[in-house]
Amino acid sequence: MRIRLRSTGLHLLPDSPETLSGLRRLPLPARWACTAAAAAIQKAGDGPPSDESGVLVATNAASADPIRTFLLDAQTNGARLVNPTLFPETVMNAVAGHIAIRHGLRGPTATFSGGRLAGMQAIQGAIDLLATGQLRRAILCAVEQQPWTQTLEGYRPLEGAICLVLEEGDRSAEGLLIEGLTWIHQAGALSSPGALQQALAALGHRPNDLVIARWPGQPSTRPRGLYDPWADRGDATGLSTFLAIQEAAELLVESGGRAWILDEADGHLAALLVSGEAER
Amino acid sequence: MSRVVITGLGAVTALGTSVAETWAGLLAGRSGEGPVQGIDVTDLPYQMACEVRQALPGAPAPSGPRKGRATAFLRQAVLEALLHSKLPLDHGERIGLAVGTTMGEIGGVEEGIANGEPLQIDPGGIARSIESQFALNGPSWTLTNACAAGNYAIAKAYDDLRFGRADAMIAGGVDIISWVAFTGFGSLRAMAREQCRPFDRNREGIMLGEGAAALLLEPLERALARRAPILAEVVGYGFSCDARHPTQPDPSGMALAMQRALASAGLVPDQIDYVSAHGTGTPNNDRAESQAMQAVFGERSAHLPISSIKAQLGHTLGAASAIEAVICTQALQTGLLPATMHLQELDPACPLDVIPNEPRKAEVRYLLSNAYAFGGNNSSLVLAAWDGTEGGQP
Repeated sequence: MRIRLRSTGLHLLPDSPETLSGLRRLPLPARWACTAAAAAIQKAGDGPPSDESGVLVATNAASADPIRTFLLDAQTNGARLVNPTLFPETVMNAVAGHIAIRHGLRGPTATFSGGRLAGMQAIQGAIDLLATGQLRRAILCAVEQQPWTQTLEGYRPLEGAICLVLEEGDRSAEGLLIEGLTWIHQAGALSSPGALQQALAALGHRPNDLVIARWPGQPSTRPRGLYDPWADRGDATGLSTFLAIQEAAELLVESGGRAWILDEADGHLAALLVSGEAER
Repeated sequence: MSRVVITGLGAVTALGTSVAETWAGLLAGRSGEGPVQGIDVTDLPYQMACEVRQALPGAPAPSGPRKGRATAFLRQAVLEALLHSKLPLDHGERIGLAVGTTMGEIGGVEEGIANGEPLQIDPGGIARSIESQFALNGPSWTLTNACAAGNYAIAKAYDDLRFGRADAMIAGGVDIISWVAFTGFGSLRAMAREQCRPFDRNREGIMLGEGAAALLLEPLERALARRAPILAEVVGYGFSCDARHPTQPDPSGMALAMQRALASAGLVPDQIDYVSAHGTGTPNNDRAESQAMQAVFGERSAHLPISSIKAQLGHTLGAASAIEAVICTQALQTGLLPATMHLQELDPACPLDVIPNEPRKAEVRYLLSNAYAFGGNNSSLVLAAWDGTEGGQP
């Protein structure tokens, strides 16, 4: 099966402060996610029926501000008089629900909160659902809000939402090709040449074939010739994973070639292989 | 793709800190509800919940500190499942973990706020802690699909095994009683004051519960090779979204998840012998689930056994469908279907064969387990009795 990136949508702060109208009652993360998703879905154009399109969200903090708001309301008005619209927003998967409702998407929804690897988890989830036929179009959305993730060790997070639309695509379809995602479950895999070669071999490639589009390790350990637009941000959430994919699409779709997008945390290395090569 | 079987079970619930205690309590008709000890509910009209009151190694008591409580519950369930499966933790093998939870260690979050600390949310922390304690080195997932999260975790583990990404997977769910959830469900007027009575004409709503469950999943050929106890088989799952309202359930979305699960398992509705209902006991959920059952099973829905164990264990949110999968596995093993306790008069709007108050003996080959969540998330899981064959999926 061939999976392609059909479109992207961004709503990153502070550059994109305005969200779509009609979202004022929603918490900020849901507003950002709905705005990014609307842009990506519009750019993707017509697709499979709504029953076969689903939403997969990567987030570690989307419920933090709603929980704070809920607790403040209880403190102000008393526990018996909490605004009943607040509680449903305190669950992480509320964001996926809002996107699905706005676009009438009745395919599977899922929310991944695996820390720094949440973005890669959502991509793997989408690949599996596309491969098993439960989905034909996956709307993936990474959303995070500061300062709720800021205190986690090593984070310097971006804030906002980025949406990717993935779809099964034949050889003639346009868009970045998702060639495969492989995982190495080994502490320190990023600094182990053997582990990296193993990841590449699993996807049928050798290191020399590739441009590395994201290096989640320390800058001093980065291989020579690395292309990593987000290295200076030090960010490691699903947002930066999705940004790297968007950068790879801009870099590769016109020029061709392959890129390897890496994420590592807590003894797990995810290696996503993408390609911009035109297929004839 | 490999067939995937269940070879170990673990559970921590208001009825006990093991599968055996929980199962015995369910069959005996015991209920876990009691006055809430773990959080301050003085100002609330609801005072009852199904808390875990039995002490666990390393777990704070209900009235003690809340931080670490969810992790301790899941750790105990994982340990029981590993021991049950007799799986050696050989570090050369890829043994992974998929955790479903609504809010993770929410107790610690609430305590931190009360102590003036900054709000920190880290739902993935439970999985990281368990992986580290058991030195797991396979795939890792944290799925935060609220009250359906357990089913999502089992499905993810199932996919990891089918696609060859792991040698064995531990799938589970966990949530604890929290002030946010207790007050929140109260704000929605969705709580029962005394008892949860799913499908009863006079049901009031949910009784919150807490707990954890874990299932050890592995490829059939591997389980056979190591002579593991094969308890049941996972044969399919289906997800859908209502795409209609954040909290009001839509029967058509629920039906779509059941139909997808059946299609995924290669089954037709007539092959299902029992349904483990989401059955929260709220007027809206039970009515919608009944309509969905009618849409999928037609006239047979009136004669297809269905029950909800939430009357006895409470609604354990992200743990619920993992606990229900454990109980479904017990049902497949023993031929005993758990009852829906506290059912006095079946709601005419729910014309189903709800098993009332006493377990029922039945021969079950395939069963369906439903779980739904805020945001319109719907999930259904299909389990099968182990048929003793080694060929393709039955």
